[in-house]
Order: sequence, then C-alpha cells, then structure tokens
Amino acid sequence: MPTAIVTPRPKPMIVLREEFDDWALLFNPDTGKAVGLPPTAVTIWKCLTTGKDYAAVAAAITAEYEPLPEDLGKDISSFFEDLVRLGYAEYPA
Amino acid sequence: MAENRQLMKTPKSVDIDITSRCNLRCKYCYHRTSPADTGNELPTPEWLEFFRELAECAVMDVTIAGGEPFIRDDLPELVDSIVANRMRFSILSNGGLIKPEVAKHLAATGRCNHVQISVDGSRPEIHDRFRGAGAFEGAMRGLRILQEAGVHVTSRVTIHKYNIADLENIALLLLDQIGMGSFSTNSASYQGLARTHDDVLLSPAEQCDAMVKILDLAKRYQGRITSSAGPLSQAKNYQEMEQARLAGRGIPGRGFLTGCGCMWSKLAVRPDGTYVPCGMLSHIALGRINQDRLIDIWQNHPDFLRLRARYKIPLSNFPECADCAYQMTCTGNCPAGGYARTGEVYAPNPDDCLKRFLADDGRFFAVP
Ligand code: SF4
Ligand code: SF4
Repeated sequence: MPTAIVTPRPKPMIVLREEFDDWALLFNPDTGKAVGLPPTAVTIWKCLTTGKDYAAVAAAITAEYEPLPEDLGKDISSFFEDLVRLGYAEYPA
Repeated sequence: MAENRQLMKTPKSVDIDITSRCNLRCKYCYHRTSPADTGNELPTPEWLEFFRELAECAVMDVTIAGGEPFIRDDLPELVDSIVANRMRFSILSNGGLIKPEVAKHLAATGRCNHVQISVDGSRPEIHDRFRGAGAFEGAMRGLRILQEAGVHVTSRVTIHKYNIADLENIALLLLDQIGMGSFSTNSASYQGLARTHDDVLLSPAEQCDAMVKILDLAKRYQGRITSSAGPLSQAKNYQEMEQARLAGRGIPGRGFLTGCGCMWSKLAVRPDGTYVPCGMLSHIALGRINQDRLIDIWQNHPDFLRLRARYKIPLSNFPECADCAYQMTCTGNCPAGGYARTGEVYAPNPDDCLKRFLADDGRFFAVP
C-alpha cells in the first residue's frame, strides 16, 4: 500500500511576496532568507495557507496547469519536503 | 535600444524618515533644509497603521532614518510593530542618543539587519569638524552599547577633504579595533545643508586623492569596505567606463538615464507621512500614507511612472552628452544629485559626469 503523503503547514511568520508573472518569493523575516517560487509552487503554497491537504493541492494543480508531470505526487511531496527542510513549513506533530 | 523593465507588484522595501528632529546639525546633512525637513512628524498610531499596510503589501524591509531616529521615545513600539507585521528593519543613526535598554530591545527582536552609525574620523577633531562637538564621543558610545547588546553594527563614512588622510585610521578603528564586519563610504553631495557649506564637497583633486586612498584600503580589507556612491564607487565606475570605451563597446543597460534602479524596488516616506520616490527626491510628493493606498501610488502614480521611465531617455538627447565618448557606457547618474544642482531630474547629474571630471584634471586609477 502506498504511504500517504503528509501535508505540511506553513509557519505563521512566512511571507509570500508575489512579484511579477505569477512568480513569487517566500520570505522568512526571522532569518532574512528568501526563495523564489515558480507559479505552480505559488499555487501549492496558497493551498497550504488555506489549510488544504495533499489531495486538494493535487486537484488544484491538475485543474490549473498542463501538461502535468508524469509523477505529480512525487513532485508535490518533494516540494513539501523542501519547504520543511528550508524552514518555511512544518509537519503537524 | 532601451531595455524593457517590469515593475514588481509592490515595493520590496520602504525607507522611512520618522523624524526631522536631531541632536546634531552636521554640515552635510542631506535632510535639513530639504523638503523632507517637514518639522511636523506623524504620531505613533499613524505609523502603526502604515506598517499593517506594508504587511498587506508583503514588504520585506523597513529602513528607519531621520533626523535622528533614536530621538523618538516610541522607537521600540514602532520596531515591535514592524516585527509583528513580519518585516525586518535597519536604522541609520549618529549614535549619540542610543540607550542600553533600547539597544537590548532591538537585539531581542531578532529582526534587526543592522544599525548604521555615521563615523567620519578616528578622532574627535576629525569626526566633529562637520558634525559638532561631542559627536564622536556619542558615535563611539552608541556603537559600544549596540555591540554589548548584540546588535549588528555597521558604519557609513562620509569622505571629505579633512578626513582623506585619516581614512586608514578610520578603517583600523572600525574594522580592526571595533571589529565591524564592514563599513560603507560616500562623500557629501550637493543636498540639504551641504548646499550652503561648499567646503564639505570634494574638489576633483581631492576626489582623486580620496580614490587612491580608498581603493588601496578596499584592496587591503578585501570586500569589507563598500560604497554605492562617492569616491570608491566613482573610481570603479569610471574605470569600467574607460575600459569599455577603449574596447570600443558600450555597457549593457547604459546610454540612457538608467542612473537609479532603486525606484523599481523601493520608495520612501517623509516624517509628515508624504510618499516620495526617494529620501533624496523629497520634493516629489506622491501622496499621503493612510490616505492613499501604497499599492496605488506604487503602481499608478503618474509622477512615479514618469520617473521610472527615465531609463528610456537616451543620453544622446542632451547637448553635453551628444558628442561624449562615454555616452554608451554612462547611466546619467543619480537623479537626486542632478536635481539639487540643476533643478531637473530628467537630465544627467553633472556632479558624477566623467567627461567633466576629466576636464577638471580627474584621472583613472587601477581598480584591484
Ligand atoms: S557628458 Fe557626462 S553624463 Fe553625459 S554621457 Fe558623458 S560622462 Fe555621461
Ligand atoms: S535617486 Fe539617487 S539617492 Fe535616490 S535612490 Fe536613486 S540613486 Fe539613490
């Protein structure tokens, strides 16, 4: 049975700064660091900030973008891991 | 051909002059006697309301300047609001009014990029010459208090004719003895009080002396001495322009009035709450905080749009530039300095003009 993908939660102090062409920055004011997000990642982040889970995130991406990557689930879960590793989000306890 | 620039939806950072009051009266203060010297300043609640709007616009950094920001008793409260609204901050100060409890407060926020203290000499006689008696002692005390509290400190050294010979000692003091990571340099420009104190401005010969000294120190201290204006920047920029001219090429993005990129990522606010494109262009009033929405001013104000469109104006339009060998390597320089000199922002700034510098016996220096 495949392992369920755990959805992380954005840390409350993180700022999404939309700049242009649907690209954005995620800014952590505590560290002063920021990372650039492409439009798909912006969509995912917005889903996370409204409390959506993995299934809803995948549905939002499927509805908004094409073509989709072969393994959408793997891409989304590796983005989740990056967000947690870089300190922008955390897995629920 | 002019490049095609895109505007961010909102500014990344905002420079705020929170007061015009100051404990000093430095002879080259750009603020005093400028339109930003408004006398009246906004009360705390107005700034707190504005910081909430900055958060909605996802602004990342606020630079608090003045006047002297530490003169305001509500500075800790203002800083707390910046922090609560998910931003970071920096403060520009002369150091003299910094109290230990306020310094500890700044450190405890964890959001202070730095406090920058002006230091123009390694000894009181030099520092105080244009800043007034007691200023050096105040700057050193402020630096010590900030360091003891754990606040990241840096300095701005304004180069003038009386401290060129002291630059080495200043670097020793700030970088070796105080242990600062880096400091920045500039020189007094024809703004504010400097317009009535000609002796603070560098002559071309003094500019050359300053370039030699500061280039040598910058090499010795490997990246710990920086600048965005003044002799160090000019020496590097002029050398780059000359290299391009010798190679028979232009420099990408130049040949037009591209001299200021700042207005594409930030704007400023005067003590009375008036939006301006830059603290040095404080005569261009764009609206009032808490009455006009920041995003509207940023994206739609016609004067702001026109100012940003300077980059499409070719230098070949100007008689003094038309036959200049540096035309395609030149940015026309900072519009604020040009405005102070000529009353015109849509023209090159003569104070940073390489052709003029060379005509006045200016020289090029090897940049390490
Ligand atoms: S005349 Fe001066 S401002 Fe004009 S292009 Fe030449 S160096 Fe630049
Ligand atoms: S106008 Fe001049 S002083 Fe103002 S931000 Fe631009 S370069 Fe800096």
